[in-house]
Amino acid sequence: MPSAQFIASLQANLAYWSDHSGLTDPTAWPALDRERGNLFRAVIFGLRQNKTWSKAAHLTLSCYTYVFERGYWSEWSAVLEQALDACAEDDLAVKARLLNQLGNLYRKQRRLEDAQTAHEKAQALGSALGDTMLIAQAQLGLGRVYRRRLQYDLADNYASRALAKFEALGISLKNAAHARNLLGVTALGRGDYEAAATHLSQACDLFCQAPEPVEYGRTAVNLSEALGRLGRVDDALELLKEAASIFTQYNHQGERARLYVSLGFLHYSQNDLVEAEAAFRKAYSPAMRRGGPIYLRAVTEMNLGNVLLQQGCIEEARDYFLSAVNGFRLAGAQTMLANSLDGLAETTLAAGDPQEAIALYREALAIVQAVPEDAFARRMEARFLGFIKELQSAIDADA
Amino acid sequence: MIGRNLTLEELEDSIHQAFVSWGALANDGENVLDSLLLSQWAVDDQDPEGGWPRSPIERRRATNRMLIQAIEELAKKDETEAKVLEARFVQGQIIRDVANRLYASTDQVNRWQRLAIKDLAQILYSRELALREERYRSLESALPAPPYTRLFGLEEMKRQGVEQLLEPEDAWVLSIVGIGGIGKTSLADAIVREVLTHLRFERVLWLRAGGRPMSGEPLPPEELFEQLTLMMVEQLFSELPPLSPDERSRQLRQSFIAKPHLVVVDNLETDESTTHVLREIKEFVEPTKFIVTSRSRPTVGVTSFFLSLEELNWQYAAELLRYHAQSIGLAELAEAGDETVDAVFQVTGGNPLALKMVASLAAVLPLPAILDELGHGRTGPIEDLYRNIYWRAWRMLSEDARSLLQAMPLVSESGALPGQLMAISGLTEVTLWPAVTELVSRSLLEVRGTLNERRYGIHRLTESFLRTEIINWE
Repeated sequence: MPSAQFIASLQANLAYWSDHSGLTDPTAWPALDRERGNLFRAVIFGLRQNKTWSKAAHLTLSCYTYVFERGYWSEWSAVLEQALDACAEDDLAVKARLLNQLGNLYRKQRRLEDAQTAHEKAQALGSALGDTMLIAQAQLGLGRVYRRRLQYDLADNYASRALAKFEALGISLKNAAHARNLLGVTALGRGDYEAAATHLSQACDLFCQAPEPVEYGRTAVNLSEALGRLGRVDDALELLKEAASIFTQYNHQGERARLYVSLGFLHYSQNDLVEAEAAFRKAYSPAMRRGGPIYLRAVTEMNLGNVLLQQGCIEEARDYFLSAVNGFRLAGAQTMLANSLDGLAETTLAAGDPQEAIALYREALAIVQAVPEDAFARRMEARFLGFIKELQSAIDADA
Repeated sequence: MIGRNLTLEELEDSIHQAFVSWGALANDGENVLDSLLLSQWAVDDQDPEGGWPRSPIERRRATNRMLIQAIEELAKKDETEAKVLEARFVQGQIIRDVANRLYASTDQVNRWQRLAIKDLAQILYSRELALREERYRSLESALPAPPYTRLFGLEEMKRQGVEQLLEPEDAWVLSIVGIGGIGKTSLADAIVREVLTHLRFERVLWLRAGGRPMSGEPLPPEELFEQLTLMMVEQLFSELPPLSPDERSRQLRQSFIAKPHLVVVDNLETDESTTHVLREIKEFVEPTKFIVTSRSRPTVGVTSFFLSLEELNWQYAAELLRYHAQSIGLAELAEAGDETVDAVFQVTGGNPLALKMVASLAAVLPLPAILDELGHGRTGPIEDLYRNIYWRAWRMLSEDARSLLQAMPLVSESGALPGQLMAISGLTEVTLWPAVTELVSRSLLEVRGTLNERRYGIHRLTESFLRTEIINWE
């Protein structure tokens, strides 16, 4: 049993960090990063003692936004797992909240099975407690997991159920906004752009009212994609401009790359190739070129490949497609991998190797046929089938 | 002087040589100008993310850019000299034509040209020195506060370590091995500070390996390495969005291969973690180099150069004891004869931390009593000696100092700010600083951080003592 004086220090330490304003202030997060070791120690020590467990658990829950946004997913997963291990049998509400947070962190680490399990357990606990908010948060988490898997029906189902509960509770605009956003991006994946625009627009309104400026900015970027697909280019550009200003104001440099990719795609869809290339190159910053998040980097490279291909820069386009293919393989992003293989096949064909092009199309086809719910995958399937047939005919004719 | 040794005469010759071969695609043979930071800056300015090393063409273009900028600066001082250089070398005019344009004799133009090159060399020399100083300060600012004021008995090892790190080829890892409290971190720090003056590395990263916060037990090797890569990414790329472990490794690999970095991994405790780290960093080395301090000598992993720290010999132990005694105002011990020093040495051996702590104890207690008590514990492992020293030190502390020290296991390797210290100790601003001063003087508290932001932490051995003997944490 630790000394009484140390327990008192533990309690004081927990109070110190619980009162630390930096936890909820994004502008203080860079400074808090330097203190992270001390914050984590406070939690970890506190979770190990009965007298301090409750305070430590609440501090753990309070740290979530900071940890999530700063990317300490792996480190903090271990803390949450520990908190759950030490959780008292009758503290079900706290346990459910911890499980939902853990599920979200697992999802960010692409541990989708673990994420699903965590949210399902949280949902079960919420049901046992009759706690609508807990159930809704678990369902929102499950919706996100299914969306990551491109299982849009299930994603939609869970997102709708979560939204209905949040709206019935009427106490959390932010959660309702997240549910709307999820419905919106799911609709985007399905190719239902009108529905996407409706949901995302409502999500933006809710984030604005909450107020959650950075989330508003992120959702605005999603909405701009839907509007761009609907031909409402000027509206889309306005939203991106607004989002850029928010990310600058709140020093969210990481979001800027995604924003430039969206901007570039908007220009590309309007056939403004020069503007598109300029935006993609802004997204492809020096830091991104050195590495960056694999998925985002691969998206940027793929888009650069597309725009350069359109401009006849075959060799340069091919280099970007090759890099994107590697990136999407690592990230496990199948539809995007197929799209990059498509681009690569075009450059291969331009270089005079139809056999190799066919092989690439076949590989891409197998990928898209495995995800029938995705609208993009369905479009690509038709295209790949057409190309394979055409190229094979040409080869057979030559033979 | 910081960086490669440079003389004005050498610089003048190189400048002249560069002017003479102005239109060449690459510098003929080795040119001193290539090694200047100014020149490297000029290359990086054009292509910040270019690989390393740069091609001869890139370096030649950088040299020319640098010289043109210097001529522009010379023009502010002496327009004629600048005009002569511009006309003679950049435009390639012969002396007679330049003389005609300037209404001067060829002798006069030759004199102006000589003076111009001298003045140009002076401009570049001053700028280069200033840049080198700035660069060194920038690199040095990444280091934690040194844990020593002077090294004893480590000069030869320091020299070997520096030499090894400045070698352009392997070994890619400098491994410093020794028991706790023997001076591994101090030696690593001294080597790094010396190496940095040569400006060979793009950045220096200092990573302190942590243990399990509660028990102090070492982390599993895989978890430890993940913690280290997280620290590396945080120090290198503060503006990137969050990355997964794979992404982090990829990112680091690309950066470490593109330009030479110096990475210090301090305080690996177990054989397993040392072996694991040395295995994993294989993909990060060349041209980047690592310094690893550990308690055991690894047998696998990337090629390493080893420095094994043993206890100080009598002479160095005596020097350290007297120096530390002087620094804490214990003049009597500082001036003590060899007999007294030998009595201490018989108990502490040449363990630096033990020597310092005994000196600190002697500031309050009679030395014979200290040595008598500690002497009984000396026949066992070194850990027993430390435990006895710590207990002795603990009993002498004031209540406030104890309140602070017993809470220090709550503080991570990065150290804590005064605000947190007050919270965990229950001390006020008035009572905190005397307690801090007392603990620092007893070598029980370490001062870290920078001049503008002081942080306080404890040695791993101190933490271990507190957890097991004072706090009773299981």
